Amino acid sequence: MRHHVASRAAGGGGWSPRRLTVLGAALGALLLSGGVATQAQAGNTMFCDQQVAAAAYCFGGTAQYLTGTEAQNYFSSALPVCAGAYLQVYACGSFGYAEKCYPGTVNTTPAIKNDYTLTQHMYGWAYWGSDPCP
Amino acid sequence: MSVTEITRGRARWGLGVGTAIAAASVLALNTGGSGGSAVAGSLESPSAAAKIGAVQAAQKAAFSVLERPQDSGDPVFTTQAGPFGANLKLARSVDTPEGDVRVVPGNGAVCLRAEDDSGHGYACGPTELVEDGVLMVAMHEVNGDVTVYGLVPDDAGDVSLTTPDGTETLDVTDNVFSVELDSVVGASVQTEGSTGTYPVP
Repeated sequence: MRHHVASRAAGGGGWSPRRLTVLGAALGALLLSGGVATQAQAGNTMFCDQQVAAAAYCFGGTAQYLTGTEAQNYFSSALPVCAGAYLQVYACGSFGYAEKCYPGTVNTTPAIKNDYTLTQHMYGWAYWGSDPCP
Repeated sequence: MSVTEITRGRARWGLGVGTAIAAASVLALNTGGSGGSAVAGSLESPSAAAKIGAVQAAQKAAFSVLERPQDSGDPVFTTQAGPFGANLKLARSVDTPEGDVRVVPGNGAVCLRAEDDSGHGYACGPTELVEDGVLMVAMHEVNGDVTVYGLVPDDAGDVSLTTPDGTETLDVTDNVFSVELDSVVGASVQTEGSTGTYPVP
């Protein structure tokens, strides 16, 4: 691939060194910002630690090839929570904890949902890439 | 019965979750804080707990499904721990009309693990609360359909589901029931052995 690009640049077509520099910078910025997720990437993060209104969602900021999402509030309570992702199946649990695992083939945004009728403080974790769902 | 009555204030989870959010609007509903304080972004996932090596006595006493001998279809062989130390090698699989679901023992917790086309889902609860109540995991499809699996203790008696359409008694096999719903709005489960009403999540 690099050879191909170099050939075009050397051939004097549309690939001037300046354009390649600009293109490279743009691609680098995109990758660094997390705007492009690949299945080779792996990781996990707590993406939510906040009050969530009744029936509302807390979304993780960046789409990933998710392998799983966890949702938790007060585990010792009987308050329902849901774990999932944008436009994907959600798993909901009745005792303050739920986890949903995915095959890692869909690039989507992790989310948790407050399934209770009042606001509750919730935590959400996401796993993606080769980092397996617990 | 209110959520307050269900929770009973018996948290021993050391996760720093309970009283960490003392100002939360649901505090009045959660009578069981565990102390400690949560720093934003520092709370460990429940999946970080080391998995247990054997089914705990309280779990066997409350849920006979966890006492029956395992067969080849019960365990899932993985080195990974589930949430709260849940050990899939100790799981029992229950065949329900809606599909197989596993009862998985954890460290002071019991979990239900349901599989679907896109992977699987877990719900867990403290053993000491679930043995007096109903643990449910509900798989919500994108089209709105919901498959619900529930775990009840041996002494639960009849288990009934109430929806806006009425009340029906659910079949229980190996401590587990299942039902498919178009919506969980207004749906709840009651058991003969408990005065609690448990909204379907």
